Amino acid sequence: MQDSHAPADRTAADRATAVVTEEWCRALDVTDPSPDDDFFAEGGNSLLIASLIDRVERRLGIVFPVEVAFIDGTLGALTDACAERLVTAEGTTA
Amino acid sequence: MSGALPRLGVLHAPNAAANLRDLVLAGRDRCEVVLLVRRDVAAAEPDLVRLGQALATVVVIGDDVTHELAGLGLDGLVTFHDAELEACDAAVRELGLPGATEADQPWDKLVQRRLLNAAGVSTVRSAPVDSPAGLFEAAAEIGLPAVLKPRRGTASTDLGFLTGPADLEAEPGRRERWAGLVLEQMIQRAPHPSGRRWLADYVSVETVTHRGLHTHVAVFDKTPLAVAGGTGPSRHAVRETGDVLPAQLPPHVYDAVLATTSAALTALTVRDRVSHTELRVCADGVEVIEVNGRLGGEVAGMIGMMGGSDLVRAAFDVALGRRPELAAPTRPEVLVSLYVPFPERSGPVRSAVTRPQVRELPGVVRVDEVAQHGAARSDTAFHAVKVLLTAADADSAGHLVRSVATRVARLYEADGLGADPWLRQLTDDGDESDAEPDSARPVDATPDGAAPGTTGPDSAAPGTAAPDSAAPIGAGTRGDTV
Repeated sequence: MQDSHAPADRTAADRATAVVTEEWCRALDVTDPSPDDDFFAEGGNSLLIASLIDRVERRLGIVFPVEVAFIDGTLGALTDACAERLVTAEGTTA
Repeated sequence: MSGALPRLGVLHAPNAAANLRDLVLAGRDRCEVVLLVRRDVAAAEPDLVRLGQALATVVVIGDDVTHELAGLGLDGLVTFHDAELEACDAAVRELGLPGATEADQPWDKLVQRRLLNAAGVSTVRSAPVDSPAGLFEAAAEIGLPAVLKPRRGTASTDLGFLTGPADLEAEPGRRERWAGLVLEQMIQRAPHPSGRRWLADYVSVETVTHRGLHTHVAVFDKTPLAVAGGTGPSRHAVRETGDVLPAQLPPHVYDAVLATTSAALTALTVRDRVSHTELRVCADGVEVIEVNGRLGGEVAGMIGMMGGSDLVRAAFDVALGRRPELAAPTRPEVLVSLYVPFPERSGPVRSAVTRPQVRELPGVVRVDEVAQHGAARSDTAFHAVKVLLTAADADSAGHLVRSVATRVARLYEADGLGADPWLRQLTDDGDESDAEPDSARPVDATPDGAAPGTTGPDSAAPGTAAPDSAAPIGAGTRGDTV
């Protein structure tokens, strides 16, 4: 599934980064997060990450990298992993 | 995970003291984590199973735990959930895994108190109750005031505070469930030994025991308990409201706390596990409230933030029969996890509060929970907010706790937080050195005013307290359910 609101010229990686960041902000009720922020250290919990995973998977059409979310947990790691999966899924290059 | 690693079974369910992430991180490069999830839990919590399967091996099991685990090739078994303690211990014993207690069912509060009495660790009297008639017999035996409570579990609900004959006479008309109760002598509230009124008169100790040697990793102070009113099982539900690390105890009380904890764990024949012991403290003595046979809620993360050991990892190690690597919290500041409770448990949240509003409160370094307008109060375990605060020292921490609690009460004014007696106690700015117990009811378990100090061992003889009783590498989590 494609993000219907994404600009046509946005690369897959950019789109994945934007979607993950948007859902991160929604889940944690924050604005302007840093790539180094840890989801759980910012007050996230398993219920919130489950919701974030569902929404990202629906919007990007990828299998979410759950292990990255639980083991690394930073926004930067999540955006990178999701971008990689979206690029692979779409057969494009970042 | 590598097949060369030992296989550790974790009997898991929502609201355990360790969540899925804790388990995954603790098991990395250490063991193959096999998540054991009850069939009814798996049906009710599909996210738990889905996420668990992405991170570990998940086995859905039925009621015959030992039989179902027998073919899994486990090298150890552990749980962080009260409801699974007895099943876990039974399976450990029957499968010959590390960590079995010699005593049978030591987490049953009646059994536990009798073991503590027999070892001279506690003088609190207790008696079983299974009927209204049994209540009167028990009250005649142990006297009033007393607390009537379930023998199993630590949810601190379904309590009956029987302060005198009127409460005793009224109890049969109030209570619906009578099976598996215990009546225990009640301990009167006392000031915290430091005189700080924002601290309650009890502490908790997290202990790692390996081959019967007890190492106390940290001691936590608590903010005052809140008692919810109402009817039904939530009647007289006692709510913890905060943990404070490190504890602000005078040295002689601190030593007595550690010594009594060691003696209690030895009396319960604890051999290989992480445990959470709650003790009542005052200037002249210590009494065991209860010992939980698993890691305390909330505390592991706090210990980690303060530079101490990962106690989930330690629990894994001892469950596998390994010696754990332990370190005490080292950071100099004071860390407080504050959970501001709703005074009334039923109904939806009436106030509209956002995370950013809570994040802006003084001293807040992390916002774990903010109850959302319209949601059921039970969604956040009856907390309005749950936050972590840091302060340079205990006095600063007290000011911060009072300030944050007062501001949260204003934010949740529509939910009646400002009128909660708990808040009044917390924000009472009376002379700290002349602290008087609040006139509210006594809370939880232990003895009457008779010499609580006599129940603790000599502070100069910490007994089995392990490696360094003078400097314990010695200091619970709501919110994350999975």
